[in-house]
Amino acid sequence: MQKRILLTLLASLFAMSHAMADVKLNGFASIVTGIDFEEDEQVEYNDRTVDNLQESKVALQWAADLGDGMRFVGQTMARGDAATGFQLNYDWAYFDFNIGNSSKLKFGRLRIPFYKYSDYLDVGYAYHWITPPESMYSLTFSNMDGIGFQQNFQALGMDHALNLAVGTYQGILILGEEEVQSSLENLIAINWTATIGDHEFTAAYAQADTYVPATSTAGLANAAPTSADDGDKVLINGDYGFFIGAGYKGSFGDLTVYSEYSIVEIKDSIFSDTSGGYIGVSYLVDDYTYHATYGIRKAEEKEYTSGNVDFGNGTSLNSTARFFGNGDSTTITIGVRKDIGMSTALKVDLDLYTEDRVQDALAASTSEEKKATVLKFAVETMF
Amino acid sequence: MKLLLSSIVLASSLFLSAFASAEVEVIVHPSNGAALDQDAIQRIFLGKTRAFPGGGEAVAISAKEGSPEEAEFTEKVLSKSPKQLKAYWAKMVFTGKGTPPRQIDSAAEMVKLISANPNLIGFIPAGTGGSGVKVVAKF
Repeated sequence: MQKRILLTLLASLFAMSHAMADVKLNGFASIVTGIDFEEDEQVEYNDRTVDNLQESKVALQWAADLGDGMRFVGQTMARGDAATGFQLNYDWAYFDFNIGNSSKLKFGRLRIPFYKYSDYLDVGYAYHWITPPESMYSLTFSNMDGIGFQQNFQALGMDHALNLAVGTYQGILILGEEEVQSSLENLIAINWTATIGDHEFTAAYAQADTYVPATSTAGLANAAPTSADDGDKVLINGDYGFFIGAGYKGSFGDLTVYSEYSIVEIKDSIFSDTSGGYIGVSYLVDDYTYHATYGIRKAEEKEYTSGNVDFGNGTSLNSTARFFGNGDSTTITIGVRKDIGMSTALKVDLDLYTEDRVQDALAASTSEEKKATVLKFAVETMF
Repeated sequence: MKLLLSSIVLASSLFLSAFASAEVEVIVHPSNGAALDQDAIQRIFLGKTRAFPGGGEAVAISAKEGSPEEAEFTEKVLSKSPKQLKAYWAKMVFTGKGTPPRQIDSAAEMVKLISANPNLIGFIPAGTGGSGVKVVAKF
């Protein structure tokens, strides 16, 4: 047995030394800054935008060719953080194997194939916005641990790409304004893309058993046990959560139109039924891409029959559910991207954000309209 | 004066014809019998398949980025601008879906590599191939 382990170790070392000769390095960097002209101090939006370097990132990907169609890919990325500067994370680390002529199998930490831009969400150089529309790209997580399968094929005169992933996620979900520890078990995601000429259609479905421990947020801890309703319909305790999304992007010469829409629900839980999407257009003139996008996000909060009983601190089950819901919002983004050379882009975006939601969990609170008008600048590059 | 004018006209037309004949040839190993049309070539060079039509591993190699033949091939065969191609590979690389073809320094080097390996497919300025490789398409 020991001999076998030794042989395996030697074989791996040999593979590694072989791979060292064939390591490819690629990287990208985004430096983003901006300013909010409104006095509303819209906390949530500001949190997600920039008066510091919150959207800035630097990433390095290295891929080691292990021969026989096998690779090891690792990607580290440092994100700008207002408090601590740049925080480094291992975004991906996986083995991938070529299967046949147009399939690939991956093991490790992978990107969940939710959206059209899921796979390269962080690579700002690859799209024209500074940030993909928040109305659609609102989930706080994008990676999972598990197995992925990719298949390319041709049918009905179109190129198809099928992406299937199975695994788990442990990390942050947003409830209200709170980041809560959560886990998604038995996560299954399927993404299909069909391309014909300059037109691309995408559809995605994902489901998981969703867990957010009641102890992870005061709101949930208060709400669950004191409810006269079935506590099981409040707690997020292994409930069936799903994501359905669809999108289109098509180019007509220099004019491109694009749209995506998605629905996220977690059944039998306090989590609101949310939907969001965007529609936009961009126009290319030499090195400049001018663009405009309209995004909308809606939350339908759960309402419990006996949910108006005061917990004793001014909050109730229904007011907590309403606060967790995040309300409705719209965003209009107009901007321009200028390409410089072959691998750098300068971008300026103006985001006009309006939301209508309660700002806390108090039962007496009413929805307020708040605005943010954010001008952002970015330099994106890859190398 | 007349002579000068005709010389200029002649020189210009020669210059223009030189430009017009900047064609590229797609080349494979002489033993490769695959039927390769523009669509099949595109699929191989964009990393959508790793096989020649009818079977056999296909490995694309490219001319140096920014070279005339690379620009010609990108526009005529892949139907993309150099920036679109760069953005396409950025997406593929950073999603782990593929890597761009290896770049070869010169046409002579490309011919040498392909003449020795039946899995390779590349492109060169028209007429620079010789007998060691087979031209399967001209654009």
